[in-house]
Amino acid sequence: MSPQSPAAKSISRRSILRTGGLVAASGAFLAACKKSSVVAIPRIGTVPPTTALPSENVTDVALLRTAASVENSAKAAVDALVAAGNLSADGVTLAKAFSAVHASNAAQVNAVVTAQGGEAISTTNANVDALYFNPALGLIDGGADKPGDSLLLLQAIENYVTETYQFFVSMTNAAVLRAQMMKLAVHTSRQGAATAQLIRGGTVGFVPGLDDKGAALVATIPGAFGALSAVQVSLGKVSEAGTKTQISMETPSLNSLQY
Amino acid sequence: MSQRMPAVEPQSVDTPETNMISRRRMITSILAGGAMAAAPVLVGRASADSGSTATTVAQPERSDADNSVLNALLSQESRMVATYNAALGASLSKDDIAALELIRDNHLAYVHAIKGYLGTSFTAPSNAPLASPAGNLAAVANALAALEDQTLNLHLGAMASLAAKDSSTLIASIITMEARHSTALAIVAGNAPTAAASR
Repeated sequence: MSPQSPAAKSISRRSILRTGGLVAASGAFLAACKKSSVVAIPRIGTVPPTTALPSENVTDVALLRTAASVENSAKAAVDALVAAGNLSADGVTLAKAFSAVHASNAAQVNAVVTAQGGEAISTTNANVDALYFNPALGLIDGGADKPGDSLLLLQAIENYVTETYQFFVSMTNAAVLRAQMMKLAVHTSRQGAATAQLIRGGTVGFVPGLDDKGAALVATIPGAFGALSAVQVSLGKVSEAGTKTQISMETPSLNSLQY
Repeated sequence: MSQRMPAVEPQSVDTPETNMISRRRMITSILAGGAMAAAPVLVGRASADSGSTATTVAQPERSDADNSVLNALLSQESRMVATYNAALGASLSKDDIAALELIRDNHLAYVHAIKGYLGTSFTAPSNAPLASPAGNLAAVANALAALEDQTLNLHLGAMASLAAKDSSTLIASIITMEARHSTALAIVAGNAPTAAASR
């Protein structure tokens, strides 16, 4: 046999691997550098030009303005519960106190908004009203247990505002603003607990449980950590299946933020 | 007479190739090529992100700067667990004990959550009770509600100094429940719901 020549030696396995790797890397590099070309697709007829939606930034100010609008919505909904006259005397006392807290919270948030260079907001959150609070108030009107449903909605509203602040903490950049949000969330969290005690009082009401039909009972301490799942409340007429209409209230997202 | 060449077995001995690229250099080249290929994609993403948060400076998801604050909160939570264990020795009804055990277990969950977040950076927390609540339900609940408020305020104070979003999110989820603990205990201690809600 002939000895391995230098040329043959250069086409060793190592050489193939090395060359192949370099070729692959270079190919990937060149492919990434390639300009993306837009191929015009032939079409028939006229197509109206589209207008792109304006881009909005989810800033700390936008989150604060949204929180203020949610507080305004909560106040309006609580006031509506009082005005409907279905709450018990204890419920009215709580609701009136809660309404004042929501107004105070909104004012505090608006003061921070202004200090941050934003524009204070005095209106309610239209999406929250339209999707959650107004339908819920309507369901109570059509139901048989208006006092009970009114308390359930009052608790749901307080929990909703609390969850909104807690959720916004994960999106807010400034640590000071996160702390201020949570100070306000403490008020509404306490209010949710107080309402839960009015619905199912005593230490037995602390613990989650089920009624004789298997439905979840209101618990003052529903879990170890503050939840961010949808706030659910069942209101209105009882169906043939024995259930009420359930409303799931999601914390404000991109289409409900006040930019 | 012709002399025959001796048979030579072809050998493929891996000898150091001084004038050729080594395996290490080859891998380095491939990685470098890959990084260059990925660079335009990453640059494009970075510019897209900067466009969506043009007016704010992104905060870190995690930060070692939070460790000392979190260790202090961990110690408080650990001491709350010990306090509830001490309170469970009081003469209480079955429902009352179940309620206090529920809150004790919540504080234990906070200990585990903060420890889990800190990982190897946690320091062994104190297990000394903050108080020794005794007497009937009203007395025990009143003392525990005050301690819940104390713990809650510690967490609220920490929120402003937590640099990372993840740690802030964790503490926020604890704050909302400790507010409920405090209010619930204050109510069963005999306070009016309105007063308990505005502590």
